[in-house]
Amino acid sequence: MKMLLRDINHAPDKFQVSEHNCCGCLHCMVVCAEIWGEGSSLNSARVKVCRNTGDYYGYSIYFDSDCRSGCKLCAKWCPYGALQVKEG
Amino acid sequence: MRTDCLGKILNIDLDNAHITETNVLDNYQDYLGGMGLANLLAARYADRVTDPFSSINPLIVTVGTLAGTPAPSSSRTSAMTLMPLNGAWGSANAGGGFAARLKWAGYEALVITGRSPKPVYLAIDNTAVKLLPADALWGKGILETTETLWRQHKDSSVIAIGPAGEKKITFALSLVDNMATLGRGGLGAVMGDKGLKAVVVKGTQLPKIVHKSKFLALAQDVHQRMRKLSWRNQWLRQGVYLGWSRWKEELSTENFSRRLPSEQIDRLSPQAYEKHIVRPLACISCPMADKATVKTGGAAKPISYGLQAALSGARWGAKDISQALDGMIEANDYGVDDLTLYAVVGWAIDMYQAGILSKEDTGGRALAHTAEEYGLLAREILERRGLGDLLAEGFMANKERFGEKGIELAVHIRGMDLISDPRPHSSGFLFSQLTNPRGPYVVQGNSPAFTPGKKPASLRRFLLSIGVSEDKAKIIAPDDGELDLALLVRHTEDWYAAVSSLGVCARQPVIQCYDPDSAARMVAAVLGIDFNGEDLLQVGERVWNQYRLNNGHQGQGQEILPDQLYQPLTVPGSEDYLLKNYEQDRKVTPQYVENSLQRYYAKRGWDNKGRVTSKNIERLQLSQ
Repeated sequence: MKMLLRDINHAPDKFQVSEHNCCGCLHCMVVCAEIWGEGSSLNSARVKVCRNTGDYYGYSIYFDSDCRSGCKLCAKWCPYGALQVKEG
Repeated sequence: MRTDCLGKILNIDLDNAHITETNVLDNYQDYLGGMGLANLLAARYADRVTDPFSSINPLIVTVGTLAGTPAPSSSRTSAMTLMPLNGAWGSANAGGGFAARLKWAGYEALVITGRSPKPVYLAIDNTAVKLLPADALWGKGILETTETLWRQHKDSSVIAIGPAGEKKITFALSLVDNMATLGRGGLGAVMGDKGLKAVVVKGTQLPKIVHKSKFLALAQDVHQRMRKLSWRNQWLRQGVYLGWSRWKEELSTENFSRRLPSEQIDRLSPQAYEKHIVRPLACISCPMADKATVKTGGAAKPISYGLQAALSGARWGAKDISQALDGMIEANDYGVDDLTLYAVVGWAIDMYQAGILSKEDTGGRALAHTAEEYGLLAREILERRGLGDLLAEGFMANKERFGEKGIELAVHIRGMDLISDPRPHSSGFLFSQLTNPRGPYVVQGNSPAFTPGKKPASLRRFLLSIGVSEDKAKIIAPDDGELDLALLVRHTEDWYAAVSSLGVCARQPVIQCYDPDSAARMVAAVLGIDFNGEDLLQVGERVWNQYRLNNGHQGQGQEILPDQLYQPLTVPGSEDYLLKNYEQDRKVTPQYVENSLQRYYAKRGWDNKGRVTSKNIERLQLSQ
């Protein structure tokens, strides 16, 4: 499993990231931007899902350093197991 | 209503490369977005556009009221144009990510008119909108076109056409993000005629939601309902293939003359299909992904849904699902509707066998229903060579050349082929193909009655869930007596029109998790208006009436089942199928169909020719 967690302090402890499960619904990103975004910009979501280049039907998942709230909403809304809250 | 919750309408005049923005219409609340807005915008053109290839034929693309929000499965793109295959105003609808991204760019609709002198594509990056040269993309397949545009415009969605659209084949379509078909009936040819290779959109601004926390709670509730469906995991693997027990009986071949042999059907089964899935693909906001990439030998390719490969593969005699998938992927890439393509080929072969076509027409070949011949004729159509050039015009365009007898051999409703063979079980699916103003389509009027053998109580539960009163539900689906398909479809069409105006998908697991009240509460929360379930259902009724009215200008009045469907369908090694009613206890005759239609018209308040009455126009305040 490939993991891409960038510039983030605590997220690796909280999330299991399985990019190969990501189907591109973008629920995580949209909900994050709705709750935490400034001015409702999608760019202000703390989690970002981007279409890969080359393998155009796969996605990469990034967190940015502003993800500090631990709300875990992205994982709660992920319907495909790409983002899961770690047990314990 | 607060209009700051809504984006603009983007008007693109390709004749003059002129782009303007206008506000949404004052009566947006009466039609909402998606299918409703598309029909409202089309009403401005309906009485004056008669030629799909005239420059004033608009290509209208709209997004639903809930698009771009966390409302589950709300990213359906709606489109409308005068369709070249049969001259109907076709309301098209597809998944993918386009609608959400167009909303994020700040737009509710695109209205594209005119014709560009050189190939172009429309690039929307938030409010920066440009027409860019598409010479390098012209002639390319859709898959490559879309991937090229994704590379050039990061985080974008694409609607693109292939060579079939460029060649104005009347059953050319477009794909959204390479995984959803948009516009059977020739929307792709309209784009090709306009010199428009693609539309690419990127947006970053979420739509304003007036009561955000209330809205998110409602959206999460529907989201959870979907995730808790007991059959969700199976759906994620098979999607609409889940109805296989019904679909497999409807796989006829050789121009609807006989059902496929059982052993061939088994090789097109969902179990055979599952072996080819590489990964599921979701539309934006959808927890019920049923798109996928599949592998049949070479690199994995995206598809809209596997069942379609079985349906079209049956027409041309694919020996297994791998071949059928290859055929569908090739057709998708070329930008042609594979169902219509192989229906047209089957019809041409029958015309040859009836002596209407000769070897002079076929370049010296004797035509027979073989997979090889289907491949050859399909290629001739796609390249517009010889007979293929005539066939590329569809069923109805060459009456003089093929004569009445030739046209009679085509199996179509309003000039468009049926999705599958209905003779094994007459259902809501057949009836909704009959009453659709654009001709046969997949999901309009979707309900459990698309599947045979449903118990009246279960149908009544569904009807109650879409806002039908208990008394009416009992009349439609009585415990003792015949299911009233006519009345049922009248209600399911309205529900379809309502959810499609929200931008919500009409696939079974989605529409059974929404209901009029909760969906209306979402609309109220987004727009900050008073809006309830009854209001939403009235939007559905209004939109369907507007759809019908828009088509009235084109004389799309009477619905007729093709004669072939009243003949037995031969089933190898078994009894023939005869078209019977839903309960399978009564033969369907032309009179039976006519009676059902008259009941349907009456329940809709239309006249006995199926025309929208002035009373309805006034009551529903339709746009003329």
